[in-house]
Amino acid sequence: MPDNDPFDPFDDFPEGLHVDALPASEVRRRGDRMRRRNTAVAAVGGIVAAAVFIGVPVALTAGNDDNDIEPAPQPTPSVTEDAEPSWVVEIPEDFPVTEGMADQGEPTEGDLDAFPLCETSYPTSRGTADSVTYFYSGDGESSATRVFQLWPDDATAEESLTGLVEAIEACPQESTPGGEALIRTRHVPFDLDAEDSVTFVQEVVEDDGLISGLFTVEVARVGNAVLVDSSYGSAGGDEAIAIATENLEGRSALTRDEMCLFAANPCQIQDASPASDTSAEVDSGTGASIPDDFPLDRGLEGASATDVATGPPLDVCGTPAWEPSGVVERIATRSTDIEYLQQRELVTFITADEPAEELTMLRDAVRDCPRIEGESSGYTTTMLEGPKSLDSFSWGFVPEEGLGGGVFQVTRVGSAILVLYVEGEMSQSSLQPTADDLTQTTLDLAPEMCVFTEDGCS
Amino acid sequence: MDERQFDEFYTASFSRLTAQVYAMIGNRDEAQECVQEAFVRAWAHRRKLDQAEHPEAWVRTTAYRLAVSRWRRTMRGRRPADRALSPATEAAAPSESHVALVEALKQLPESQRQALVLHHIADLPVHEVARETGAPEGTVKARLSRGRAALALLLADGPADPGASHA
Repeated sequence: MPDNDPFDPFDDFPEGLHVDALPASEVRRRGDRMRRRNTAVAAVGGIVAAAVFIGVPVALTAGNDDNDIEPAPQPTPSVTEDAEPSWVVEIPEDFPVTEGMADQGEPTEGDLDAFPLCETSYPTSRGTADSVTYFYSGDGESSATRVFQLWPDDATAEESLTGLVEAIEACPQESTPGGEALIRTRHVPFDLDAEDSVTFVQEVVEDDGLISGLFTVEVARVGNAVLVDSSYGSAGGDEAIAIATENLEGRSALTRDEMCLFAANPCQIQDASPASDTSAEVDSGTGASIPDDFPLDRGLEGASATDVATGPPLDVCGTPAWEPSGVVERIATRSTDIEYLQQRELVTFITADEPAEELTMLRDAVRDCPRIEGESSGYTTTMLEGPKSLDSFSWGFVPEEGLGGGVFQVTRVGSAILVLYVEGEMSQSSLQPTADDLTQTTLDLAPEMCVFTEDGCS
Repeated sequence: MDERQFDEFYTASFSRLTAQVYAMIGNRDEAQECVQEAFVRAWAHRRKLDQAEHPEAWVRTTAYRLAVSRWRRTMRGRRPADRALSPATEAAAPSESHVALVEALKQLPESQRQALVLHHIADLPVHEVARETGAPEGTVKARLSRGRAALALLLADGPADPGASHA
């Protein structure tokens, strides 16, 4: 306890609670999923995936923003924690094996293609329950191959990766079939978002030291599923390897994401947004990062940036006047002179849902609170007019005794909220003119907030 | 923050943050859910986390806001409860004294409760409580003073009022 206070009921409060936390790897996996969804890096339209839960195939559509992947429900009490999972041993028809594989055109299905590793080769279909291979030849000298395998269980799938690592270590180099050059194989320390992963490269090293013919192979395992994703390029060397591994990782992200279907505790894909839910209208991922040059202090003389905007310590009948939840980023500025304090704050959220919620909550709270109890005097609150063309809300308050008062204008554009606040010597009659001034500022800044909308600024 | 650093951060702070958020909101299961979700967001926004001066405060603030936001949604009944808001399955608290403390905290105004927990359970000095809550230091001191006084009365009076507010 920081203070020397004789009253200390917190003294033996536990520093930590015993909780069953998710493994850190699972937290990261969900975080990666959130990041991808929010930034919409890849167009996912058209993907159709199948969900399987405890061995029961359930076909569900995936690939639009209204869908989400949630952890599967907990097993029923009749299923013990030690029960062997029901592994999916047949690749669902709609599993997106080739998603992200080709920029243009369609990959074609073919026979398994393996990389030589001295006395053995990788991958092998021996022992798998199901396997499929796709090829894609792009323009020029590049190509890609993707092998997706389901093993009888996670142990056999894991063994296949263990065997791969041992084979790589046992075969650092070998001669090409014609003997004119060396095939060099090496492990690359590049982890993928999966339960296990192995990344390795094979390059051709000529007599004169020229390195070419780079195969980059990324292997990811989730449960009993293994994805072997590879690309070929004519250039070799460390720089080419770094580029190729990053490219492969990005291209296979969605497929790896869906591999949670084959985990011991499989995910399921579900329609998360009932049509009747009005939040679906605004629950879309948008850009949440605030541009460095956002002109929050435009026209504000003597403004100084603050770490966190501090609105007045005022509750609206129990609801804080401005304490947003689910914030991703916030910037604030303020200006003071003899008569007034002006504050501006820009806050971004993961989606447009949270700020819409904040506005509704605050609007309802103010409407339900015509009078605020104060420490020395009460305050009268008044709803004010703001910019009609925007999702905006304005209100003011003045003390019942003495001087003071303030006006808020809170405006949502996409996944961001702009808060303008003026505090000073006000009367009931000066509230609306003050709100009108804020409206001009809001209308001036709102176009800059297009970056937080789903459509962007185009 | 790379994977190893994040995993260490997560492992080291998860139970501690859960205890703090539990004290703030009074529901252990909900606290765990929200801290878990906050860590998911932390990894999703790890570049911001790298820039944050106090990553643990970032997670704690996010978890607390998630809890408040969920509670508001539930109370307003605007949307069906999600999985995390299913009927309470609150686990037993660590001990009777902790239950009494948490129940008493639940009866305090949100701002006082948050200040007390951050100062007395998270061991943050007043200026850091002010930074984390966005309130002036003087306001934080007032909240602590009033909160302590109210808490002393509540704990002296015995069992908490079952109609106490949540957040």
